[in-house]
Amino acid sequence: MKLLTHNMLTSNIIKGVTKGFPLVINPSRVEVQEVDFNPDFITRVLPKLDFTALKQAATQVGHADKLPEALPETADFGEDLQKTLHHVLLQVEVLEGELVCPETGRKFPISNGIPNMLLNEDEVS
Amino acid sequence: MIPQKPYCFVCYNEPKAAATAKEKLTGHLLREGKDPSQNIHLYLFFVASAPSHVSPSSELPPGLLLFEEFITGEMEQKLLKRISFEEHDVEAKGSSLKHREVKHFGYEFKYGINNVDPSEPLAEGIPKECNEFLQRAVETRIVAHFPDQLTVNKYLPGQGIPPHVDTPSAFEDGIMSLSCGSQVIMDFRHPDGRHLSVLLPPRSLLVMTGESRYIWSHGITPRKSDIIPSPAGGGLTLAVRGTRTSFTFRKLSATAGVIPTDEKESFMPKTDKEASALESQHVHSVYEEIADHFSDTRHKPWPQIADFLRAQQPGSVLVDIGCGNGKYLSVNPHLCKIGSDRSEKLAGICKHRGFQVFVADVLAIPVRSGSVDVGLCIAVIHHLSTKVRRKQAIEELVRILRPGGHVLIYVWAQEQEKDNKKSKYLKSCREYKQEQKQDAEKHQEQDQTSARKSSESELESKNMPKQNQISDECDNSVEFGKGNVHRDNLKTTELEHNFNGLCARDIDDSSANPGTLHQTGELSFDDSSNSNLSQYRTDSKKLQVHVNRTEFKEQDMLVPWQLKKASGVEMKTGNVELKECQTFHRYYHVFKQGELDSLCAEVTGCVVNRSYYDQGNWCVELEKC
Repeated sequence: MKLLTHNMLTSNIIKGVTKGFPLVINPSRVEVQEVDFNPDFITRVLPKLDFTALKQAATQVGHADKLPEALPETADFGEDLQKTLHHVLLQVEVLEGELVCPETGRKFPISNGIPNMLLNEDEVS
Repeated sequence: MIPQKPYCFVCYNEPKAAATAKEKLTGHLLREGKDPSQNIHLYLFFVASAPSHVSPSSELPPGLLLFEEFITGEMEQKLLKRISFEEHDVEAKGSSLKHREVKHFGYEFKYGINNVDPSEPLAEGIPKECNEFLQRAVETRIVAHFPDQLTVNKYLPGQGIPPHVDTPSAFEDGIMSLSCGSQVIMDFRHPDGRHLSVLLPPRSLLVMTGESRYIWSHGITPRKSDIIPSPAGGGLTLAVRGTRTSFTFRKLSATAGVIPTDEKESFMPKTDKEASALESQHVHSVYEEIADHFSDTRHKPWPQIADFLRAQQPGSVLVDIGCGNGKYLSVNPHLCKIGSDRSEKLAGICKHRGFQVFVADVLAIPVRSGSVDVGLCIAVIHHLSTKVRRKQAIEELVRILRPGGHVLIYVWAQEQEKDNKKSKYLKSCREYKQEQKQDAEKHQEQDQTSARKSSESELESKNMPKQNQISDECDNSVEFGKGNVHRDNLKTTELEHNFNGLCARDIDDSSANPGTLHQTGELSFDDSSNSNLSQYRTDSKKLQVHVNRTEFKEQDMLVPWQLKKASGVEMKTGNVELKECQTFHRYYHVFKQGELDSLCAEVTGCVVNRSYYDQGNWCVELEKC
C-alpha cells in the first residue's frame, strides 16, 4: 500500500462511523522502491488528495522529513517539493502492518502490501 | 431438411443431374408472400461435401465406447417383449414422464432427489434375460461391475431427454445403455462447448466411462428423424425415428443415496443473510479456488472498456471495483489507478503485477465519498443475488464518485444473441478459436511491423500466454490429455471430411435463431428435468446449473467452471485425467434488456450517460450529479 492509495481509503463503511479518515497506519514493514519521476502526474493528482492526511501517514511510516506542514499557495511547487511528494506518494510502500479506524479502533491487516478492508456482516453500515 | 435450418442438402447421382437441377431450380418461387419482398425463393449451391456437423461425429467423447450389434435381433425382441409398457402396471416401477415412459428394476431412481435409496430395493431385480450379455460385458472388461440397477426408457418419435450427467455419486463409473428398436442420435456436450453427436444404432451398447461419464453431458434432442450416413454408402440420408427403448444398466456406488455437499441444491435467497451466504459459497469461495486459472484466462481488455479508460483526463483517480488480475489498470498509464477485489488471491495476483490494490466488497467500498474521478465495475454486480444488493452496489459506486465523475458498469446479459449475432460466449470455443486464428493471421503483418507501443503491452505479453481471449467468459475450456480409451466403431463416410470453415460459419450465422438451443439449455443431474418435481420443491426457487455456451433459460443460476488442477483433487473414478479436474459453480444473475438501466434509475444522484450492449453484456456509463 502506497500512501497515495492510503489517501483514498476510509473506514466509513463500518456501522456508526461517520468519517473514518484518515486511517492510522501501524507499519511493521515499509519498503522504498524507485519509481520514474513524473512531475506532471504529481501536479495533476495532488489537488485530489488530502494533504493533512498524507502528512500524518508519512509521519507514521517515517518518511515525513522533507514534507512541509502545508502545501504552498502557489501552483508551482518547485522540483524539490515535487520530488519529495513523488517519493512519499509513490516510492514508499507499506508491505506489512495494519490500518486502524480512527473512530472505533477496528484494525484492518496489511499483508504483502494489500490492505484487507473486508468487514464482518454485522459490522457493515 | 436439417431440423430448424432453412436449407437442406441434396445428393445427385451424376454431376450432370446436379447441373441441370441447379439450372432449372435456382430462383424458383417456392411460396408467394403478401408482397414481393416476402416471396420465398429456392437457391441452389454446389458444395464439395456436406458440413461435418450435420452428420454424426466420427469422433467420440473420451471414455465413450460403442459396440454395434451387441445383442442379436432375437434378444432385442425378447427384451422388448419382457418390458411391456402397454400393461402399465402402476405398482411403483412404471411412470410416464412428460417426454417418455420409464421403468425401474433393482432400485428405483428417484427423480426428485436425483438419487436412489439403497435401503429400498425393488421387488423385481434386473430381468434374468439380461444376464447373458451383462456377463459378457463384465467378462470382457467393458465394465468393472455387474450392474444392479436398470432404468428402461421408452421414447416415441419426437421424444427426447434433456442433457444431463448421471448422478456422479450414485453410480459407479461405466454406465451401459443398450438401444432397442429405433436408431437415435445422442448429443454429448463438454462444458467448454464441444459438442459431438453420436449415432446409436439398434442393438448397440453404449458405455460411458471416465470423462464421457463424469464431464460430458448426454441428451437426446426431441426430433422425428435423424441425419445418418446412408446405408447404401456415399452420403447422408434422413432416417425416420421409430420407437426406441433404451436399457440403462448401472451399478450403485458406495455413496449412493448420500447427497454430497457440493451437489446440495442451492435456492434463491429470501433474506439478506441467505443472499450473503449464497454469494459466500458460490461466488467468493469459488474465486479464491479458481483465481490462478481465472487470471490466466483474462488478458486482453475489451475494446470499448479500454476506449472509455483512454478517454479519461490524465491524473484522474481510477478505482476498479472487481479488478481481478488488474487487466484494466494498465490501459491508461496517465491515470492514478487503484484496484479492488473481493478475492484475496486475485488481489494478490494484481499486486504481483505491480498494481495498487485492496481487498474489499462492492457493497462496502472503503473509499472516501466523492473522491473518485473514474469508477469501473466489470462483471461484478451480476454476482449479487438480490435486487436490493445489486442496487446497493450501484449506490456505493456512485457514492465514491466526485460530482461529474463517471463509472462504467458491465453485467452479463441474459440475451446472448443480438441482431442475429451470437455473443463470443455463446459461440463454441472451437468456433471462437477459429476466428481468433483467422484474426491473428490477418493482423500478423501489422503486428510484425509495429513495435510494441507501451510498457503496459510489454508487461501483458511477457506475463501472459500468447492466446488472447477477448470474451470475458469464454474461458471454461479445459484441455484434457489425449490418449484415452477411444474405440470408434462408426464408419467414416466421405462426407465427414471437413467442410470449408468459412462457409460452415456463414450457414451457422444465417440460421441462428432464438430457440435453437432451447432443448439444450438445462443441465440436470440425471433424468429429472421432465419429471414432476413440484412435490420436492420448497417455496424458494431452486438454482439450476447452466450449461455453458447455451442460452440462459433463467436469470438466476449456477454457472460451472471447469478447473484443471496440477495435483490433488481426486474424483471417484479410475480415470487419470479426471484427477486433475474439478467443477465449481458460480452464482450469476444475468440481466434482461433494460434491467440495468431501470436499476440505475432507482439510484439517486446519478444519470445514465450511455447505455449499450457489448458482446453479451449490458453496459451503462453513469455520471454523478
